[in-house]
Amino acid sequence: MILLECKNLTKKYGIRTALSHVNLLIEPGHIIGLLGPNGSGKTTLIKLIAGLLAPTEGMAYVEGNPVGLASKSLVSYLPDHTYLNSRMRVQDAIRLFEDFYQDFSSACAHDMLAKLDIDPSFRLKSLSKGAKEKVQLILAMSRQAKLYLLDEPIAGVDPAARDYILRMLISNYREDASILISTHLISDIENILDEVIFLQNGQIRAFTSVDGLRQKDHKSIDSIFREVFKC
Amino acid sequence: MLGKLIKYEWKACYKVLAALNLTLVLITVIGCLILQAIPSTEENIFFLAVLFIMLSALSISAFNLTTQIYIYFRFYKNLFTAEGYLMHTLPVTPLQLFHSKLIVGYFWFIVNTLLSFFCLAVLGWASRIFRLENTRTELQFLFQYTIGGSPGKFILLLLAATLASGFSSILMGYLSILLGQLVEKYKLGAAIGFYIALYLVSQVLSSLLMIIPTTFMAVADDMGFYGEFASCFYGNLLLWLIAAWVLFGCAYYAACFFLARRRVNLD
Repeated sequence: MILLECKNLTKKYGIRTALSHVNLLIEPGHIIGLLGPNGSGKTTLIKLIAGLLAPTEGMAYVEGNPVGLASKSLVSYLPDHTYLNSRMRVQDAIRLFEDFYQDFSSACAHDMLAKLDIDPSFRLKSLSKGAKEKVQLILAMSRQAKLYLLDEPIAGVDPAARDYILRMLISNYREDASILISTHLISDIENILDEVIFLQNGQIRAFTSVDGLRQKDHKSIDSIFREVFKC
Repeated sequence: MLGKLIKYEWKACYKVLAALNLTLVLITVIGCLILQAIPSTEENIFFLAVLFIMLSALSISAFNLTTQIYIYFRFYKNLFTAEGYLMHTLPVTPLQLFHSKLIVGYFWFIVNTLLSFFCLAVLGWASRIFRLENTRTELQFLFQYTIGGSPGKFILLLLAATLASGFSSILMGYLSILLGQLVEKYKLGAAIGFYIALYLVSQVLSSLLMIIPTTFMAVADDMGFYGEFASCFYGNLLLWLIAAWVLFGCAYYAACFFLARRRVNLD
């Protein structure tokens, strides 16, 4: 069964093409790294699948549903910046997710908050940038979604919390769900990845299994990335 | 889902808007106390009343404008800035998002406008101007001559005008923001530009619509029924204005309905 299908997905900003005729098939049960240099179209691709951008051409489907109301209840999205109202308390954000998403587990969210030492009664504006990112990641990962779209999930958090987050991603792994992670911190994340997508200039340069790539080149994904996208 | 969206919209903006309205009440109370403290000789009453009511009307208008701007700002910030990343990924339709903002925004706009009128009336009462027998008679004559009815009819017309103008004003702001989203760059600047353009067009069209009751008046004058028509001229004018606001409101709503259904582009 196909979880995510992108057909000829294209996004143009004026004369600049951010994403060009991307065709992609993702099956459930995978953790996929979306890798590429700055401006390669990673965030654009994620936003198109999340329904935050209208494609210039083509279409994305989640479990056969075109991006829209049906796909939104299947997708859990984490943007690369703070998107919650800063006047909100953490517990208010949890209540909001609980109200709108049937697959959201408030117990799971509270458990993760406790492990990361975040008080749910705190207002978001009183939290550090890293703590805010952790809260948003917790909210996204406390859902039993089919597709997780994580845009730079560990960029702003300390290395100790990073380890916890990666363990959390693995523990949340389900056979009927897939996780698409966009990141620059490849060395931190490559051990949990099943597959990688290399994006360059808005096009998919490679979509392959991590083990296959490592065996072929006898190098880490981080080293391969540095070679492929060498400036 | 619409109910839940309204609940969260209400929770997000009630503190700011309630504070604005409470400040309005506070200003009125202070104004009343000052007016009551002034000795009531007939010579100074008119001067002080007019001065105070003018000043209060200015400050109340400022609060009204602030409420309006806050409602527009909230619509823009919550749907088209960082917060939009959450709102547009919730499992709700774009129209549910739009309607939740419209319902809450309209409610606060009406509350604020009615409170403004109430505060002005209270200040007028506190100025003791209406307690003078000749003023009361003059006012009754004024209502009879201008709107062809009692103060009660005037209040009903004012209420209808508030509901209609609120509907039109809120939607004009929302439509400007939605039109601004169609532009590639400088979306906020474009929204302000669209607002100014829509405001000018609506003013010109309203003025043109005002020609109709004026024409009736002129025809009536020619036919020798001037007195009957003149007595309710301003009432008729207000009715036409209400009709114009309802008409504009419906047109803005139709345009918003079409634009809000489109897929967003959160750059």
